[in-house]
Amino acid sequence: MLVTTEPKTPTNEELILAHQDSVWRFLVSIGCEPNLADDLTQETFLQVLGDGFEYRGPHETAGWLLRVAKHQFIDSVRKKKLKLGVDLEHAETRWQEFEAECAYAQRVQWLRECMDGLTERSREAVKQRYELELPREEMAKRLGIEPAGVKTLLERIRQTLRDCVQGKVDRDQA
Amino acid sequence: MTKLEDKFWDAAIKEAVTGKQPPNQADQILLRLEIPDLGPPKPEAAPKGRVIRLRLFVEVAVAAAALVAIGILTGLIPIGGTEAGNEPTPAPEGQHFASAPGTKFERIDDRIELMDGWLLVTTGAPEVHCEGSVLNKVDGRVLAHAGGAPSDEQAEAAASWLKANNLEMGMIKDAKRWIQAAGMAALVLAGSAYLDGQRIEAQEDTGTAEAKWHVVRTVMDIDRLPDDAKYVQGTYLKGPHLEFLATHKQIERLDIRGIRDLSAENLSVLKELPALTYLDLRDASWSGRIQYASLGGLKSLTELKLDYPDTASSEEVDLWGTYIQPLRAMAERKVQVTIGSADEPDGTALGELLANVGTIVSLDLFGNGKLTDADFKQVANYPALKELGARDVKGLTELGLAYLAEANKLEKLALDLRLGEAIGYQLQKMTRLVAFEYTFPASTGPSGLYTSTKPTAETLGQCLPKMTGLRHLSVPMLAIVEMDWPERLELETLEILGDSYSGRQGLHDPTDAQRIRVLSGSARCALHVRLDLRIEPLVRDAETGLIDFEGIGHGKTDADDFVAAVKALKPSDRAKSLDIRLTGFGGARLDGREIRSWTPDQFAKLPGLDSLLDHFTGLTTLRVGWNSQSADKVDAPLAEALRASAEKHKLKLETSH
Repeated sequence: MLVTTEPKTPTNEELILAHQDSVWRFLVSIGCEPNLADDLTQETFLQVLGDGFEYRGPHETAGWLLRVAKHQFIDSVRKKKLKLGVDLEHAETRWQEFEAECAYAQRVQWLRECMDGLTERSREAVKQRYELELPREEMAKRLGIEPAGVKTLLERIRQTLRDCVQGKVDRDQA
Repeated sequence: MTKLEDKFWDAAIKEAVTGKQPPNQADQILLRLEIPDLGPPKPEAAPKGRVIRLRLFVEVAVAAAALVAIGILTGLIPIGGTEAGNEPTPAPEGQHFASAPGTKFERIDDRIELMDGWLLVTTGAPEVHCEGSVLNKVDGRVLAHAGGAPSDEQAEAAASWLKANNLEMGMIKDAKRWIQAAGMAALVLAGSAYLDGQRIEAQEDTGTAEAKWHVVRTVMDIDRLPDDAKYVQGTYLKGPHLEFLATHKQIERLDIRGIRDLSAENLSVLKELPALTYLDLRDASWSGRIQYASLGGLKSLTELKLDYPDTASSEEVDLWGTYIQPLRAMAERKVQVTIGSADEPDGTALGELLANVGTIVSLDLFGNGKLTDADFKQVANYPALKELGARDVKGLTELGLAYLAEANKLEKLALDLRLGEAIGYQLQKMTRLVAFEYTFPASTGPSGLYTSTKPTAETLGQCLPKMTGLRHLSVPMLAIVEMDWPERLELETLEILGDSYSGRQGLHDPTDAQRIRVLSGSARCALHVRLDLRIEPLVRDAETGLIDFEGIGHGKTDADDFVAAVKALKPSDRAKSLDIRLTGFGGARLDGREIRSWTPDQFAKLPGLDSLLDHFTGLTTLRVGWNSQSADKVDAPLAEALRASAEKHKLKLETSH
């Protein structure tokens, strides 16, 4: 006899707590400014939970939330006459794949560990780019290299960090 | 474009470096879910995003009139009129009056002799003399008519000029609003003046500049609309809401941008509104096939705003039958049409639209990837077009711009081409441009991946003085910082685009602040300042240096630099309006308490806001908007606190949430 069980429907609070970080990070990752991401995260949950929401499992819920969030962001970009810096087709699916590879918090932790392995100049470049958000020309001045070299350096650093984290993911899964 | 995965990794690296994590907004969301109804709108609420609309392009057929209408300007754009001798005479720069076509007047030294017709005068205008009467000390806006109050026939004869200045005919025809002197009658639209030595003041509801927009979000809001609610703006509405709106026969202007689940049936009920003259349907999303045919039932319509159909995401769109044909019928009735979001059509499709709809006054091609330079020849030669949005049009180069410059018909243009000598050459030929919005192209900026904005900014600085008709300019802060600001630029409004419009956001160092100070001292401009800022700094004291204006744009903004910059604005009294968009409620904590737990005292003091307002000595209007959080715990106390602060600084306050 085939027995099917309906997924237990979590409370709204449980749903929000389970998914809000992912929605916010997804928005920021696709180019949404953090303050706006605060607002759009709220709007996303309001739209999904306040509109005859039917729970169909965590994965489906996450997918739906991300899809709504993406459209909220696209709408806001259109209204502000701004530009999307990236093609967002299937973005929510690819984000879910990215998260499924390893938990986001774990990825961030591993990234921090991997940064310790960077050269001093690379660590400085990371700080200038991601923390101080310096223009490329300014970074070039401070690092004593050509502006074009900054781009190359950052690309190399990103690849190094990705490879490092990927190695940790692989070892963890093994 | 950057690959998505690269963006995901970038965000993760940033979080690893900065440690900044997502805020916990569960409480806010739950609270908002519990209170689906956000309460009735404030009757005087301004349309949400009104200020943004200024920046975002195209509101009214005459851009300058739109600016006047919302009270940002004190200067006037002369629309028509003849100085004695009946020759059309452009008004000298900096004059503060405008005359209706056919008006006879003479400028003698520091006064105006009005002989016949209409004058619209504003702060700083010379005395107006007419048959022994004197109108002077105008502080605001005053409409003067030679002889006595205008008859209905005289008002009708000046209808187009009055409309261009956004003056409501019903008000003009109301004789009780006019103050009669021996030689002329005056109607104070805003502020005050002296007529034959007697102080006269604006009545509360004069002028559409003060028109009351009623914001509705729910059926309850709609049901509670007062009987005199003529201007209605819907937010978060769905198509079926229109059925409820259609019961309010008095509605004249309806702004339902962003309406969701719209259907042809929903739209058809608007024919029940016999007085509807203005309809804004931009950003609408349809539940079924797009179908505008029912717009034909709107017999009083004079102004229509809608998007070009999104054919990419619609299964089938019969462009001709459902869009072009209905618009063609509208054009035959002289309805002015604004087309937004025309990122879809290629040259052929656009040509078909332009060939069949002859009253498109405004066209926004933002993001269009299909048009080429050659297609701009037909845009340039299209007779009705006054306003063009050409940002992020990938096929547009100096060649396409040359067609537009050659025709030289545009009054408003939004552009983001990288500026060099060739494009600058074309811009300088566009002498009829009254309003220009320039933003840097996406390929420039400082994010570490792009090229410098400085050459473009320098070219812009060289072009601006040669665009002789220019009165309204919107540019990113970075453009101002990086160009040599032209001393002779005679602007009436300058908008500093703060968010997302330049690679580098906000103000970065003291030289930026210095530049603003120099600029504000030399330009003839009413500075319009818009800030995106988080709520938390407003309850801190900017003078203590604690203020943290993270909200200006994407990047971090050094708090001290910003405070220095704000102070540097102080010598200028030209800043007439300040628009603040509040964000960051989710992350707002004060003494460990989230915002909905703040005490009335914490809301009431808002020392950060007071400090900010102290620096804008010429300010007359403060507009603050935010996404509604909780009607009783946040929205109401915050609005009350803002009211108190505005009162203290003698400012007119407009809030929207």
